[in-house]
Amino acid sequence: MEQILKFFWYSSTIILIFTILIHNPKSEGLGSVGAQNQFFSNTRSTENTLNKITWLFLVLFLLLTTIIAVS
Amino acid sequence: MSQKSDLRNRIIFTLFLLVLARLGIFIPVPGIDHDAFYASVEKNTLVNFLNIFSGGGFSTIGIFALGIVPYINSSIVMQLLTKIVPNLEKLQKEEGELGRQKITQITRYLALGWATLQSGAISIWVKPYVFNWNFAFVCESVLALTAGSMIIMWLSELITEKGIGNGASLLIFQNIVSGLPKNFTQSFFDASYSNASLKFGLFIAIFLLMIIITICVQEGTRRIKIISARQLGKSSILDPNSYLPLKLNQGGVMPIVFASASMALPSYLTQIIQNKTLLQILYLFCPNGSLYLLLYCALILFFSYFYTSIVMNPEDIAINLKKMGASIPNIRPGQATIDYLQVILNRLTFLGASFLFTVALIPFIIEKVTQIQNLRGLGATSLLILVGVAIDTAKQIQTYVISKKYDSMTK
Repeated sequence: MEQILKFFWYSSTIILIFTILIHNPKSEGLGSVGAQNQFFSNTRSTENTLNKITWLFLVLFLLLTTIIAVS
Repeated sequence: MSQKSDLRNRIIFTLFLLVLARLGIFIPVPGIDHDAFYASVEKNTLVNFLNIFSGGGFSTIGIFALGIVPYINSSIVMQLLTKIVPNLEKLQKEEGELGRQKITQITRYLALGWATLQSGAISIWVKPYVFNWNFAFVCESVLALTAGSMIIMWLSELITEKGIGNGASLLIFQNIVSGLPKNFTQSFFDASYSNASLKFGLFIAIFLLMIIITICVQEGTRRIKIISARQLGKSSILDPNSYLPLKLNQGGVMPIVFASASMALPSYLTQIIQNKTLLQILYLFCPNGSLYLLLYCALILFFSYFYTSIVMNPEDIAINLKKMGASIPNIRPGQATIDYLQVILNRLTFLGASFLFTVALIPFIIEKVTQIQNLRGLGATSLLILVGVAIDTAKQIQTYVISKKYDSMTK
């Protein structure tokens, strides 16, 4: 049981890191504090799907980590 | 009506992400004896310093323990590199939006590398507190901590993009605030202090004074009068409403964030380096060392100038003025204007940086006078960041409301 859990944990974590990295943020990160943001930009559909996938794996990662830590 | 609810949604979304970022700090990395670890790190100055940025996540080794630190560090490195490496500078300056996006992307990969290294160091460092230390544990904790740091980075980007305010600085803000109650109790409700209430009152007074000074410094602008061609015919009196605002502190909070993040470096190195002479030199720059303040001052100055040079380019201002048909009275357009602006910017930045440093000194002075210890934990660094981020965020909300108003007017 634990092995299966660990396997899922490993794969979800790696996929999570990967999905976060392929995001292409419009924001310029820390470099633009105080600068005007682009408020009216439409997010493209690919970005939306990517966001959903990232959320899914984020929740999965948090859940699995909690389960492993508690058990 | 819809614009109001849109703003509300953005704020709720931001708060939701901040809560999520806070929750992750309390999900522990599996396999560590957390009680033993917590007891041993409480006195460690480096951990306490790192806690400022990660909101206490460091002493509990939660999965978000690294927090936004790798991302900040890689941002510093990238900002410096864009000044040094010609290819990167070209990307930033000449290729506009696309180039900057590329730089952001590189920064993110760098953050991943940094997070991996740092979590690797942590997983070796916590060896005494681990039930079963082996290769599998190192892999797991590196993966968990790296993923946590990546999540935080993504959340900060989401806040910047779909929420309100700058994500990274809001996360730092939240972490500092979450550390305040602990700091207060440590400083005032310790049994060893007599007349705690008097000191508490004094402290609150100084705290408010510092906030006021900080706001003044952050908001201070030098107004350079400008005159445009169409004004000339009417009268010889200059319109007081047309001026060029140059902020006293162009970089906002970033010089302080960067300077204090760099200040953690010597403490880091003392944990790694074994050489005695090198260690002695490094200890001078650690929080209790004699050269600590000097280095801090130098770094604030450096990052202030550095940031001003990124944000404000006198050449661009001069060109824009020329395009608008405006000029500064008694200064010729072109090279003379550039030189004039450069001199003013240099002086302003020096003044601004000196102010920042003065505010940074106040907690040390209070500590000497009142004998209250532990003030440095919530010292000037935190306070300046708090005020700066609060002002930035409030401004962004105002800008957002105004721009929405204009938007609805044109419909």
